[in-house]
Amino acid sequence: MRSREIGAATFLALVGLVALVASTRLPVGTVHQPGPGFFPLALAAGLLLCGGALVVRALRLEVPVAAPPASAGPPLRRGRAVATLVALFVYAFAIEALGFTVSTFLLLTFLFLVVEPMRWWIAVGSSAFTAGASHVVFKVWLGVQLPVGPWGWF
Amino acid sequence: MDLAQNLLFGLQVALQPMHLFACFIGVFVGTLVGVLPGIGPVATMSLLFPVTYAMSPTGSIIMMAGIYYGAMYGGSTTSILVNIPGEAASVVTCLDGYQMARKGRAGPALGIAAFGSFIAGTLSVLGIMLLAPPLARFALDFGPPEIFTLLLLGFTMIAYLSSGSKLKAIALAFLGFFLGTIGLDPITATARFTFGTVTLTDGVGLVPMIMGLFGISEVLLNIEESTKQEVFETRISGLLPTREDWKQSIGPIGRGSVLGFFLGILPGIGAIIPTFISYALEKRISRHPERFGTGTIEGVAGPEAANNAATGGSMIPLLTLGIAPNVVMAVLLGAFLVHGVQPGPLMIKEHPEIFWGVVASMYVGNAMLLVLNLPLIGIWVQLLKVPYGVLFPLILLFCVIGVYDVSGNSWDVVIMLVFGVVGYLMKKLDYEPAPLVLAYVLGRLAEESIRQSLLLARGNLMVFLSRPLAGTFLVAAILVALGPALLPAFRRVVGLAKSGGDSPR
Repeated sequence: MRSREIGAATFLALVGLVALVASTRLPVGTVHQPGPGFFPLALAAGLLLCGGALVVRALRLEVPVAAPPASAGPPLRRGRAVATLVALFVYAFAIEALGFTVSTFLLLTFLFLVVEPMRWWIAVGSSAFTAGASHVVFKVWLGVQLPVGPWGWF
Repeated sequence: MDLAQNLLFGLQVALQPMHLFACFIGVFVGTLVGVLPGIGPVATMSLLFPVTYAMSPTGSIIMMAGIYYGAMYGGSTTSILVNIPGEAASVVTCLDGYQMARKGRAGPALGIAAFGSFIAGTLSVLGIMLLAPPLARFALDFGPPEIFTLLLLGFTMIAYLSSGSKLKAIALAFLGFFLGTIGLDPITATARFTFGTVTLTDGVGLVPMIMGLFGISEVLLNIEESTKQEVFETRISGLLPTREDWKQSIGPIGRGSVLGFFLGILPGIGAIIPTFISYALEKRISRHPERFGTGTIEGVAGPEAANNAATGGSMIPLLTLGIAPNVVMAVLLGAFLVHGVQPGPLMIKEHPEIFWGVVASMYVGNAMLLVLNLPLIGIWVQLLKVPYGVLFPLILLFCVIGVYDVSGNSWDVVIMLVFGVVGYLMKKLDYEPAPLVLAYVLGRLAEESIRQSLLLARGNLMVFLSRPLAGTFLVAAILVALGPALLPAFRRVVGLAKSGGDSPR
């Protein structure tokens, strides 16, 4: 817990530092006549200060002497969250190249098969139906500008 | 007389077929997401954001508001039947609602939750009608200095009232403000932190940010948890509360409504805190406090009324001052701005059809919700049995389509996913995302108003103190900010004075 708190606070402080450096490249102006960089600079300084204070506070947290007791709740299935996230990032980049319908079919099949296992033919069938139905509803019916991909029509 | 005329005008607007349909879709979807745990009104409102482009401003706001108060109705169903809050503001309803269901009184629990919400919703609409116009007239005198100092007061209150660490809330508010500065500078149009990309010229999109922080992160958290929800299997009968139930509930409903409405107006409160206060209040004044937690109807009626009244209360700062007191209202503010309508003191005059139409639609929506939540309760119970494994890919798909529709740019999908990871980590590390989003939404207005103030006052910083209203807001903000530090010292001084006075001479 302590190391996670320190990590999060350090990250915030680092973001503040990077923002501070980036803000100095804009015209800052004065307190009486602030320029485009004035507020970003002040905000970045505030973030850096708060992040620093959070790091100090986290460092003061007591280190547990013994290993923390196992939590009473059921175990987390973190792999599923990571797999979903990776699939979504791949999908975000594939959507322009493959088009909405094909990439959505592939994403849903992956999620149905890997993240929440079900029989393959149910997964493929449900994905094909959902991808097709969302194509009709969003693209044809509601006119949402979704990418078409190399096949031209879906 | 004016009030009746205005309400009649509002009803004419709200009862137009398209607005009736928008209201129905809003409350229907609101109930749906309220019932389903894991997706809240904020994520849903941002999800439907793009759909509103094709609608009139009035229709859009009617639908968006419907989602918010509809979710308050739906949230109680899951709390009572599954013991999992369908929506964060229904946490307290679990305590006695689920116990009532276990005792075979699921029907009256659901019934009083719906009737309590209806009464509170109606009373809060009445409150908006009475309070908003005079407040808007008062706010007409506001210039940039008043707006800036009021925003400052709002932010200090949000940090002061945030549920977790104040320092974390302040740090995230700074980060939110900073993210708001990305894009073109509001005064000189200089590009700031855009890295030469077109995607960031308009700034970080509100829709990808909210959907990532609230929608994607919730899905990620839900799918890694292996708990299975079990619907309490009981025949739901006798939805109409008995005379005895009414006798016990009417006081809590009245108190919950008043409490929820007035607390809802304050920045940073939202709909959750009033439910806890209402529960604590009912327990304290009850003749049988020991019954609370074992399935007493007062423990359902009070908090359910409070969360619905709070939704009405929180509309007041938005409609009269143009300031969003919580994240849901920030999304609603975004919906107004997308349609070129600036909510604030001039809105009642410039767009009376929107103001009175939305207020009247809340009456209509509350009546619709009563029908949706009582006779149709069986449908919602069936819905709770759909496995999350089937639901979550669909929720993710809607998030992607929603974001893509706004800009037609797949980089916005990537931005949403990045915020999804950020939101997921924030929840794991006890960082509340609300201050970040609120600061982001209001940051631009804050920067604009402070720079306009300084331009008008030729750089004289005293402009924030010399104007009476701005000065009052500024002093109040300083007191709220320094309150936690000054209070112990003040108590010590008072304690010393008392002990000095009491000591024998």
